[in-house]
Amino acid sequence: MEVERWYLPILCHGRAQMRLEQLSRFVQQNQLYDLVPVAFIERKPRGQFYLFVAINSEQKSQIPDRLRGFVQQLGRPLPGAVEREDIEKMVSGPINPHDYARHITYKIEQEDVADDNPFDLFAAQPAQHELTSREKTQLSIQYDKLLFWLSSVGRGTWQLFKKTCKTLGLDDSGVEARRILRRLRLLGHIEVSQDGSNWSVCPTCLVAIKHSPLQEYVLAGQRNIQLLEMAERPGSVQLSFVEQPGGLAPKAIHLHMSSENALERLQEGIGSRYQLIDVGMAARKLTEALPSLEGWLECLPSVGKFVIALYNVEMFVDGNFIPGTFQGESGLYRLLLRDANDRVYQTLFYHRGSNKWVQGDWYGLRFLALRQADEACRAVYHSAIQRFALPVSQRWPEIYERALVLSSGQLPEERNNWLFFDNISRDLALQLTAKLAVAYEEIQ
Amino acid sequence: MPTYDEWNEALIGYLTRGVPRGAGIFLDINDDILEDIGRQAFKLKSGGVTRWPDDFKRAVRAKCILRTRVSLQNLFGYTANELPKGVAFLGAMVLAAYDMGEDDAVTSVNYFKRLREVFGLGEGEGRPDGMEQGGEEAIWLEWGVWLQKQGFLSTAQAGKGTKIYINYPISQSLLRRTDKERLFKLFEEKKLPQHLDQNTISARIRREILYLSKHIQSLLAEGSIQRYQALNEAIFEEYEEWVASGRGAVKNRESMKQFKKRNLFAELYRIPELGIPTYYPYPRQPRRFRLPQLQVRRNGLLEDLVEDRPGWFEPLWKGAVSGEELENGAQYELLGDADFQYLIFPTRDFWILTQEPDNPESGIYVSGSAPDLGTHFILLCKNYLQAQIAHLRNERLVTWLGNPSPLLMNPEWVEYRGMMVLSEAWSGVFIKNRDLYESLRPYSSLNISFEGGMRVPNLGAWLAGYGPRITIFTFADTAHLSVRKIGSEQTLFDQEVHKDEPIQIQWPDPGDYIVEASSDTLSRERLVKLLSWDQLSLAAVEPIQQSMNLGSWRIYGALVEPSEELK
Repeated sequence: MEVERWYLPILCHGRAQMRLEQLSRFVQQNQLYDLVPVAFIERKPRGQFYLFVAINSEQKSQIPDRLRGFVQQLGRPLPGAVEREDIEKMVSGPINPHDYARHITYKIEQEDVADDNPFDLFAAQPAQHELTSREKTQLSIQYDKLLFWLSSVGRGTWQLFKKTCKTLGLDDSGVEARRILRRLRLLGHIEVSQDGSNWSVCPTCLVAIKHSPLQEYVLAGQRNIQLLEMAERPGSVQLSFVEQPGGLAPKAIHLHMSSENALERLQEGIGSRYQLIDVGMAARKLTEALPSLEGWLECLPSVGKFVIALYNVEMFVDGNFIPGTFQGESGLYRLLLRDANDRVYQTLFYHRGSNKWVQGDWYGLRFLALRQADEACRAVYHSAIQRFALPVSQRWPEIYERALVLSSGQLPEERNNWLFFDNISRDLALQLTAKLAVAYEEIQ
Repeated sequence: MPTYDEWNEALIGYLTRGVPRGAGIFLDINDDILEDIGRQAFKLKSGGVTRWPDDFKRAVRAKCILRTRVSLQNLFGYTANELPKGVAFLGAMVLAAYDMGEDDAVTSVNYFKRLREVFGLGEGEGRPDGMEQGGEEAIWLEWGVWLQKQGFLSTAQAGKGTKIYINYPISQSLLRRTDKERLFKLFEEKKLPQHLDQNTISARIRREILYLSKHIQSLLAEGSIQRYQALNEAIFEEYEEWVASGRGAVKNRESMKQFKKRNLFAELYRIPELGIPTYYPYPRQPRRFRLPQLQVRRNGLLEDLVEDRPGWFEPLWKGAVSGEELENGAQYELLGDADFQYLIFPTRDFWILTQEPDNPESGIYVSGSAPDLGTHFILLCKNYLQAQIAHLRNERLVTWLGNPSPLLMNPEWVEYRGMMVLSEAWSGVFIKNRDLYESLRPYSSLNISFEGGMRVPNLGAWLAGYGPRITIFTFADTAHLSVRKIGSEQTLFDQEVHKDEPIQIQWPDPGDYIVEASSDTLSRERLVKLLSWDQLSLAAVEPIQQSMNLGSWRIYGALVEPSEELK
């Protein structure tokens, strides 16, 4: 016969806590966890109250021999069995369970996907305290490890990326990973899916940054220790490792060619195990390929149709999101689905002309909003030292900034609310500012 | 005809091919499997062979039988390919266990009677001459160490008392001939429909445990996770064979595998895309089959089946599962190999999704595995099951996080997130959907869980300096935990631990480690591999997959190329 669970109601008097302790002791001393897995009691028992004892037995309603004597000590057992759903009907208030069966502890797990948009840099604050040079070096080593790991794993989810940053001690806040993701994209190490939910590492590329007196490259994309060791073997290539500003990314690896055919010899030395793609002057190629800001807006993925009335809407005005009602104006919005379990914001740009909601990287969408609001955007070029600067508050869309970063393989330095990019040619600066309709200023 | 060494190599390949790191390997040799190996491995050598099991026995006898004696001396050590030499001999020992009838008491006399038949030794009793007491144990141990070094768990175990040595082969035979015959009868009596998936068959088998042979009952009651999983796979193979043979009550002694067209099954692959769970069909690879080149025609589009982790093809990325597919199931045509007919996306009322095993931190959940003790999982089910699930929670058997979330693609379905089994006291509680009940009920009361650290998912390993924390989940209050390095005496940890509490081990050098836990009468093992940073290789990358298209250009990191369309 099959075992069945039923409930024995016992009418008890006196202190409920005492009765429960009596029952617990009996179950534990006699190891009757399987026979009596749980008991229920009214939440606020007074004087006379019901205790419902769950019993697993083959004969429903019949108190097993091992319990018969004991239940009389607890109170007066009512004849017949009751079902779990009947218990609520027999008492006036809610009931509390008391478990005797052996359990696993349930640890609450924060919903992994909630409130997490890898592109949303609005809430992400950069690290506050100034690092010592030793701390920066340590940090840089951790970023090197991150890139080795990304190179080996190949691709993955945003969540995996975030957890790995945390494991390496690069992101304690849970939001810094979003900035890390962007920095690695700027350096040409990884690429991200349009909605940001997946990343993939880029193939190993040699990015030319200087032609004279001899060719100089930086390494972008996949790398591992073996590859670097092979490239470093005495030969015609000299490697140098340059820390990124603040140690906030993997070190830039510069390859200095000592002769015209050094690259060819390097490829031969590395052999068939690794492939190095010579992408030439990637910054220039990318600049030429980039469309105007309007063209870029057209390339952004639009989100499918949705009913705006189901969302709480906030509009980006003067650097803040202000709750309001959607009036069909072009601009940057934050949407939150009402009455949903998932508290995930969607940050989208609405373009009135095409009646489209588009998604993209945070600075890019913000830049669109600034241009939409006719804010004067500016950039300054120092031709003598080939340095280019733009205001932090007007940071460009990631793909345009990537063209600046790939000119040197170095991330921009941030000082006095300006970002400084090195090794930028005048021609490149002119082309990019023209495409983004940014006011170009030049100093000698 | 194939030699002993060729059989030995074919057998090892067959048992380990496509098996994920850390899985238990059973030397489960039987007639069906020998037919399968023979056909796959020796197509060109089949002249004169009518039954591959007979040829296998011939090859083993030629190698190890000298007149009426068994000679073990050439079975120790490793081949030039670094494979253990004695595996085919051990396989013959398991074949004898497979031949034991249900009523055969597990005694040395009965076992050796069967073994003598396999070796063609004629009349006689007890151990054959030449197999001195326990002489073959060293071959079993060699096989076990070799498996561990390859990243697999050895499952062959010594017994107790008079069964010390015969327990090795007996522990390896999952389904005996008589078990298989009983299963055929059961499938027919229960009139099981075609196209049930492995999860459903596993649940049905647990429901019908009283109708199964004593041997299967005892294996299911054992609580060994490795045996449970392997047994379910073996039972599902029998179900597929039963369907292919016309769903009769009698199992044909000749294997049907060569005649049938195979179907593949798809599970679910769940990935959060900006907080919205999105599901893709996740096809299983055919078990123990050289990987075929297949394409699937789905919703008018052709898609290649690309190898993913062992046992699985990559999800069908060309289209997420639709509400209609989820509701009614689907069947897609397979192209490219005449042995395969359809990819079946089964019609189910619920799916259980567990964390992607190689990569639990990724946020990806996949169906197809039973939830392990102490782990969170997602239950995706039709709305009508909510009352039954609430009943299980009222009985303190399961719990979950928050409220069930309706699916955007089909509001008739809901997701229970962060669900976990809490209690071992499932007896006596019933819900109407018995498949759901049996799928949720824990099959083992001991689990070793790894969390944290830096995983290298494609290698099933962690990086040095970032090893995992270990948590033991059990219904008892404590468990014994030991961690030692494989192939050395080095023990890193050996003590009683509290359940449910993560333990940070001071992992030393890179290498292979075995983690063993025991609690009540159960024990369990898992492997941990630690890699040094210079062992990291570069993943193969496909530039096209996630490149960014800007007008007529495609951008991938620093690579800027004209779009394909313009070439």
